[in-house]
Amino acid sequence: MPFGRIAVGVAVPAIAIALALALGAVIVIVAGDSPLDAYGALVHGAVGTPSNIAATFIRSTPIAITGLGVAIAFKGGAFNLGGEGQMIAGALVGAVAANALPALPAPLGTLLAIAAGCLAGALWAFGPALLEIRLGVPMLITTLLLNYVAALLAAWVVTYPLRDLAGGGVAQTAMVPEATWLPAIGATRLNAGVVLLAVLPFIAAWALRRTVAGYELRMVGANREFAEYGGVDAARSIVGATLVSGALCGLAGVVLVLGVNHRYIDGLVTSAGFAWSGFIAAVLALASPILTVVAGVFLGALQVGGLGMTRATSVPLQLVDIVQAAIILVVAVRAGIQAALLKRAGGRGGA
Amino acid sequence: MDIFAVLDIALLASTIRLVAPILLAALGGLLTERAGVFNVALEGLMLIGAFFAVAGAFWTGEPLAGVALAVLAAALTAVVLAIVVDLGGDAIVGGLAINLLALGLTTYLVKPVFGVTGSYYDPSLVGLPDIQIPVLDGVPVLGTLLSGYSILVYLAFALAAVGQVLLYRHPWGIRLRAVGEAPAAAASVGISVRRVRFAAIILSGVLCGLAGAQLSISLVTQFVQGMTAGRGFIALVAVMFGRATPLGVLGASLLFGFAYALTLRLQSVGIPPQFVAMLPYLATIVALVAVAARTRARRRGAIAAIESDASDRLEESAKAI
Repeated sequence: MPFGRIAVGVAVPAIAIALALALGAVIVIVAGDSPLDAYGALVHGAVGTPSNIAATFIRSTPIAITGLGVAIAFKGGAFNLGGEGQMIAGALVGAVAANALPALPAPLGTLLAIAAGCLAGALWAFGPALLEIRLGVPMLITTLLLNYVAALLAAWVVTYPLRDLAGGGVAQTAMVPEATWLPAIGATRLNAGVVLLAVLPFIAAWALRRTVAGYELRMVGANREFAEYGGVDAARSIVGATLVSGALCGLAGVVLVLGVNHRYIDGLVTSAGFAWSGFIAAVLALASPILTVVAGVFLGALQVGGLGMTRATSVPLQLVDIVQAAIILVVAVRAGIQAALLKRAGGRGGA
Repeated sequence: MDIFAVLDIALLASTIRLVAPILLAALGGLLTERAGVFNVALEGLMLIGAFFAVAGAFWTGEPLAGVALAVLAAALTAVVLAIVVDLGGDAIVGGLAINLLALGLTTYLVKPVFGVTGSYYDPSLVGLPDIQIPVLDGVPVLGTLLSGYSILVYLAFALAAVGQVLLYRHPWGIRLRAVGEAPAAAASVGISVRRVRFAAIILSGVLCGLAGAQLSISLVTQFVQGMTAGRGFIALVAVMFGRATPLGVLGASLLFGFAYALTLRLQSVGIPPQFVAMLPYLATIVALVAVAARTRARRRGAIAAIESDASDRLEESAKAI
């Protein structure tokens, strides 16, 4: 019953969002503010003016791309919680590569720096993937612990060997050459990175639906033993998906550097919580590539709107973090409810 | 680098102090692990504990009230996770949601509770006192090793010992293990699987509340945004590394506590602080690999034993014929 499945798949995240926003409203009331004012300011901050819409998409780009990375690993049943570390690797290596490259004709330097960032993200994910399939070390924990290692390593790199001495007290790399910057779109603050949001989810959806590797990955995610019985090399499939996942997180990092900040700054990735928002987007969208990007843009809007809300009211910005966490808390329960619903309907779970 | 400049009695004392938050959280993780729930929320529960310990001490001026509030708040947060699990939800996604919720909530509350943003530090904030044990305190080496810790350090070690007895000798422990190992069988003899899981998750919240309090009103007396910094996950690995037995978890926690103590010590000998700070995380990954290798070896050993046993029997039957 495909209609039932779609209805369940869309209705429950919508309920989750509504419940989380209601919780947010309660917190606003407790803090002595009007939820109408707060949410009004939030909506205006997110989409009220062309400039705000641009800010929303700038914020959404890394969230949606890391979300896509997490979603692809999910499809194979793998928990990649290392989005943050992989994004740091991509951002730092992308910045370093852009600075180290000789002057090249226009898009070439940018493309090489992006390739370096993707590679760095994939490499940061490779160790945990290998440990999981060779020794059964849970990737969930290794990827997460490596986030702290990546943040510390990057902090050291920009504090000592590659510090921009002109940067004063800020630990950051030198600014990357302007030739490697992602071009601006028209007269807006948007950069070409946002185009990825329109392209990547469809490539991912196509690859998952229409290629052998994608089919095998979904099979492994749905039932690993059955897939192996059918001749699928599950280990290779999981490693491949994790590498793609890491590369996407690396891409999110390098796009942030080349498109927005034009250098790696200590804490660039961690302080904004991009990767965890990406994780929330993937969970909320049940790892559907297209819906993950939609969810990523929604969360980006929530965060940018939150900044507007903080300016207009006395509600702290972290209200948005609480609302986001509450959303996936409800989604976590939903997984159980939905499984029960589908079982009763006789449909297939997972997929 | 002179190795003896790094290793001494003070380092061991520092280990014992630093082991407490990990050990307390790991004992909580052990309870849920034994009940069959993979608890990734230790991190968030500990962070809630750390925040409310400071808040309680700030409001009342009494650090023990901080401990009580930490326990209460972390237990209440654990109830949320218990409900998610009870409704058949995904414990991992639910646990990660709790972590994100804890990070958002505690960062949010810093402003209305303490009137500052980011982290809260006030020199007038009273932390848990270090308990000087009379007589023992004066003995040279033993005094340094055994005396002068907060009540939570002593409690952590005591709970590990008591836990070992409870888990294997007390009906409650036997029920807990039954629920984790064979829920259907446990249910068939009248044990309420749901109730045992609920209790285990809430108790893990209580223990994480204590762990957070040790972190924020004993090791330091301040609250810093996200100050648990992965300790909950390190505790989770301590459960695996210690084979989910209280004494095994104690040993594993001591190892990770030592890594933290070494971190503090190495900072003073000129190694860049960033590399030094990586030590606990890297030690934890190494421990994880060791756990996996051990499990694999044991499995292979078991298979080899069965095979050799089978071939012995085959030989015997061949001789008999």
